[in-house]
Amino acid sequence: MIDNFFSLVRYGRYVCLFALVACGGSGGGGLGGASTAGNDAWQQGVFPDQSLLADRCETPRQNSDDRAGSEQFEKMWLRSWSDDFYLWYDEIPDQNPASFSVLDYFDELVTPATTPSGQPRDKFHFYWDTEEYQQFTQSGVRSGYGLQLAIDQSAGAPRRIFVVYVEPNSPASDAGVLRGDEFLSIDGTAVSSNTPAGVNVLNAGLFPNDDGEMHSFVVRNLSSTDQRAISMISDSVVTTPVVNVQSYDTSAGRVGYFLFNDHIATAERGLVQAVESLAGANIDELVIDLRYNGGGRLVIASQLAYMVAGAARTAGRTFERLQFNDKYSADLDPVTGARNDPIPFYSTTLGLSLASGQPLPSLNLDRVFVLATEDTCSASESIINALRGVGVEVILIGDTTCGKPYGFYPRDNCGTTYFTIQFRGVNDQNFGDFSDGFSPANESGITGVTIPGCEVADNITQDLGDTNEDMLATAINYVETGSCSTVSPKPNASLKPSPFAESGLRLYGVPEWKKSRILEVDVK
Amino acid sequence: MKTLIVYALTVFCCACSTTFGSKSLPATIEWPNQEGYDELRSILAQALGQSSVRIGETIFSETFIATFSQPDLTGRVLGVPRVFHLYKRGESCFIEDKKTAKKYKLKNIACSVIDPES
Repeated sequence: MIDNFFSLVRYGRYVCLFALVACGGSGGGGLGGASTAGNDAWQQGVFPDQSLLADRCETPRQNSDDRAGSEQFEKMWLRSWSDDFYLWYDEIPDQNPASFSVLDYFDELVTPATTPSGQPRDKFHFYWDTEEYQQFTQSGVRSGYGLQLAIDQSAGAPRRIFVVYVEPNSPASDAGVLRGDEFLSIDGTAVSSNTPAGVNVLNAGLFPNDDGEMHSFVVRNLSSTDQRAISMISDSVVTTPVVNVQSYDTSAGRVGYFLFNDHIATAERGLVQAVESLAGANIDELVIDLRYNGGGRLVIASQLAYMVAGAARTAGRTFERLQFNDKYSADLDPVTGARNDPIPFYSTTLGLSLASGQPLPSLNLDRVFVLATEDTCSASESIINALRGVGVEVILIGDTTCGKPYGFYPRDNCGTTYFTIQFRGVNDQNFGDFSDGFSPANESGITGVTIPGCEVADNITQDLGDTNEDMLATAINYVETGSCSTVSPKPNASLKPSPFAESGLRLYGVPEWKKSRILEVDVK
Repeated sequence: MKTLIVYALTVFCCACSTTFGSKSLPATIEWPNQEGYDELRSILAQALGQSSVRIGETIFSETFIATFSQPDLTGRVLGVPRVFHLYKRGESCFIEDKKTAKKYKLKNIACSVIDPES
């Protein structure tokens, strides 16, 4: 009887579906010209042309291309669009969308395959509200305090929140917040609070929605036992993507260093100035600190790679070539319809923050040191891969990088912008298989593509750019000795968090606005 | 008749000088008052087709270029940002939308010419 009841429900659902199909077909013919009759009915292995299903919305937006449709249309469009453009389209289980919401169905449209280390191969599948996504802001300007945070949300342990980076000339720097500070309470609520109301207070204080919001904090630096009460007012913070440009004299020559945090348009100017300065200092080696750089514009990555390697190594070579799925010719970008020309090593400015067409300076190095963590991602990994592709040795100091040789063309449908992996980036040697990231040779945990280097934890009690900071000190030691000797313990080493990956401390090296609500109640 | 020709040539030359003699040169802002800042934000929002736009206090203060982009959520951005240039021509300051080539005169902002390669 129960079986019969559910059969009836299923049958009833199909009746309804049939009714929707009938209406949809009629509406499509009347409104849009092209008939879509039957295109929204799921049939195993049959994928209607996605263009016939696009913009057929359950709730059409005004002043848009949206037409009357249904959630079924939206799901069927997602399915056909994924089948067209998803990099691993032939690995997506073809499930009937009937029992899923639109967004839940999108979540299903991924490969179930895993990387060699056992991680999901596609961990970058997401969507975003289109209206929010389409808002332009000045490059590098973000609302907040100018902080990057590391949040330990290990199940069963009290939540802890640490400051890993403070933007210069920001509300945080004005308030005296330092790298290595730990937030103890926010607006009177303990950071360890695990009630919904408490978590809401923490989120509201950490990630204010608007400029001009004042919140109070109690902080303590990991190097001290003293607590401080501060308040910060959120503001439009201008990110400085390249900072701490320095050079150090060592027994093996002069070593240049800079911290590069974001591949935004203004980085063009910052990187050129940094390289000009280091070229003027006649450095012999270079350390690029990418530990918190989650990527961004590929052209910026290309320019930096050129400035490291120089013209002789890069002329006529490929910085990165995009590979789409095997339905399309390698010469075609199927999403834009344009020719799929390789991205070169750009040797001139591109007008992003400097007048275009000026020759870039270069250091002409045979090797470069990269300081990295698991938050070194995407375009940052492209720098590593592209330089290796033209014979520049990359010495990796820190931790395994995030493993994202992939990219997307964001696509709106019915008010949601979907991000599904559509291409892989490969270097001049046609290599782009680093879905587990790049790992320093002596990495002890999960490893990706092993390259020369040393595993070192990011010790947030130490200042970035300080030659005593563990990762930079290890790089300099490698320059001098060619080995990864153990870094001497610091007096306050016991206060530092263990290596993030092992302690469960998740580093949020991404800008604050990328995550609206990142704290969650621990239900375990 | 001669007088008329001389007069006409004079008018023509002056007109040429006024129209073509003053070049548009890259410029940076001599920091505006709140009115100027609001004007700039309003013009940029209009050019970008938005009701408002977030800009930094240092916009056009170090370079004549300002870029605008959608949130980078992908880590591997291929698209081209919207680029605006600040120019000075004669005593007037204006911004140019490099995508549309449309120019917007700024009434409440003072600017000064810079070396574009600086």
